[in-house]
Amino acid sequence: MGFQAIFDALGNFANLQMWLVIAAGTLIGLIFGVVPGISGLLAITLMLPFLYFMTPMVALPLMMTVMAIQFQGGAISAILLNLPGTPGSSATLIDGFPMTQRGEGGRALGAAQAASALANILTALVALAVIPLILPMIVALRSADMVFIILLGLTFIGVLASDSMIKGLLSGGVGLMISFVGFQPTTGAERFIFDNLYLYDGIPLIPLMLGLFAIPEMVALAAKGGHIAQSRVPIKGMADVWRGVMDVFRHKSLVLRSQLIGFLVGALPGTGASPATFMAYGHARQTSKNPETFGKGNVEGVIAPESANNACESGALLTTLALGIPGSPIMALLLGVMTMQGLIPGPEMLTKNLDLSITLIWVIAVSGVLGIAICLPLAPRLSRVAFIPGSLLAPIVLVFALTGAFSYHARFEDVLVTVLFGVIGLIMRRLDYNRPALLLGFILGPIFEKFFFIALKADGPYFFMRPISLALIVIIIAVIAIGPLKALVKGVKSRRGEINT
Amino acid sequence: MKLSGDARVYLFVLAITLFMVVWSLVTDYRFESRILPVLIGGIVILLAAAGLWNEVRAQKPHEAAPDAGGAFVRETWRGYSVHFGWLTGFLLAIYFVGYLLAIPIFVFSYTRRLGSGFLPAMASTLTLSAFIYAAFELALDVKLYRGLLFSWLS
Repeated sequence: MGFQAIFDALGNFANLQMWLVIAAGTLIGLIFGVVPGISGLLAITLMLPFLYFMTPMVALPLMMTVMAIQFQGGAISAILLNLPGTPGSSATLIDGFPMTQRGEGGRALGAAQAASALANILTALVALAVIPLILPMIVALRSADMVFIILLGLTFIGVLASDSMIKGLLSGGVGLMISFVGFQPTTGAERFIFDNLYLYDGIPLIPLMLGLFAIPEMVALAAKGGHIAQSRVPIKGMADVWRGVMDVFRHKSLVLRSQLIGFLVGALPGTGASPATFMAYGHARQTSKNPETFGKGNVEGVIAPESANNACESGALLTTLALGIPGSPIMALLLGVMTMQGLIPGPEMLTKNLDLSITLIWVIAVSGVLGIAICLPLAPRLSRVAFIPGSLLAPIVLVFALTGAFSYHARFEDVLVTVLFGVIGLIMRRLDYNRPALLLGFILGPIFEKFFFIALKADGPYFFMRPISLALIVIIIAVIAIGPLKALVKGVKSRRGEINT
Repeated sequence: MKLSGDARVYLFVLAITLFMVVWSLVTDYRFESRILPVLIGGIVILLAAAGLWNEVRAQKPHEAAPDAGGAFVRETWRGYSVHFGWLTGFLLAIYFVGYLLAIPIFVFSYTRRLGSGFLPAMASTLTLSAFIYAAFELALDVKLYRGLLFSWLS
């Protein structure tokens, strides 16, 4: 069934609309990827009002393309401007910009784009190959297991994606609490409504997302002021770019190892691309014949992180589709859009909606090819986008956010909710709370409650006594305990050291 | 004792969650409706209390988080409040005169306030207003909010 579906989904690429969607997504992803400080996350947040009016077969591939392609844009500004367009491109600039200063910007760009495109294509194929293997496992999961899978996802995002475990877990918990507001379909109860009709449907998703992600970034940008990018180093001709492309094929083994790191880290819920890129960079340095040249413009230092950050998306998508647990913060938005489109994130995506899921993975591969075709000749021109002054960008994004919020249900209250969550988002941003964890808790809240309700009805109060559920509980406890235990061991060691000295 | 920003957030979350938990317990919700708010709320309360305890014990000044580029953000709460003031002004303008008037007024004046020249500000105002009208009113068929003023006039 799985292998047949992989080829059936290719049929969706026979129509022109799909190619137009991918082309549009590629351009949007590149532009938002190039501009530092406004990543694909913001692009998708601003697209939400439009995605709401599209069918799932248009909205999700469009979103997927933006997600997959943003790193290719991010690499341009990292290499040419010494500013990472996306957080996942941070490791690229360590060697990318020194190469540009040395007059090898074109080579670095060629290497980054080829590594990115290759990662999109190869890891998408790996994800496609893995689906038939994991399908039987997904089908075997019961509601009780899903309760703990969701809790595990929230724990992962809370613990791994934050510096402070308390802040991360608290953000996820608050997201769950917000999701409890409104009508509860399983019991028919109206909770925390206080006779307010607006709250009957719960807090609306699009205004919450726009408020949490779009407004804080723009208010911060306006408060900071000035241009995002300051100076630019020109690049030489296309011959230099092709030299970079060939570098990728000369370092095949490094490309594959970095992709593996990216894919596995991406599949881990809540980690995102940044840790994967630095892990791949560290690995490249450790295994390089010339580790002393890292940081001074070694092309391996560009290839490794660019392979890893793009591979991350395929791994993250697989976890998101199979379990409904986002592998990266941006995948939390994908879950939001799925919910908005009436799809239920989780195992259903690999059973009832397998065709759509596989199409999304193909989209990653196709966008990789399209991305490199656009990026290589246009990179110098695209880098100019990073010079858009904040004074023009902030008003535009704010207008989009408040107009988009209204267009969702044509209710003025939604605009108020957007601004309210804008304040909450800004406080969270400033104090380093975990916004994706809050969003994830909010999105998964109703699904969590549904599975909890079914598990309680089907298996009684001891529903957690299944082997899979118990194993998941042990993992959750381990994920939470590992940080404090490490700190404890470190404390004991340092105390012993003090006594000895 | 002056509380840090984190401590205030923990206190706020603690108060709101406590209220939600107590509300779930005192109202006539069924067991299935109240169990999760009480369970999750309990965990949130514990986390917020632990965070508050850590903050009060440590009493260290909060350091700004690094931005994507690795440089430290130079923004301040005061700076934020100025720009939120503009956003609130935009919100009020939408409420009173509707989107179609509020957008050009806000974009032009805010762009100028942020330091753009007259021509770029005017160009972005006209382009954005036309795009919003075309995308939302014409393409998506969303009738944007017209505001109190137009409701009274019509």
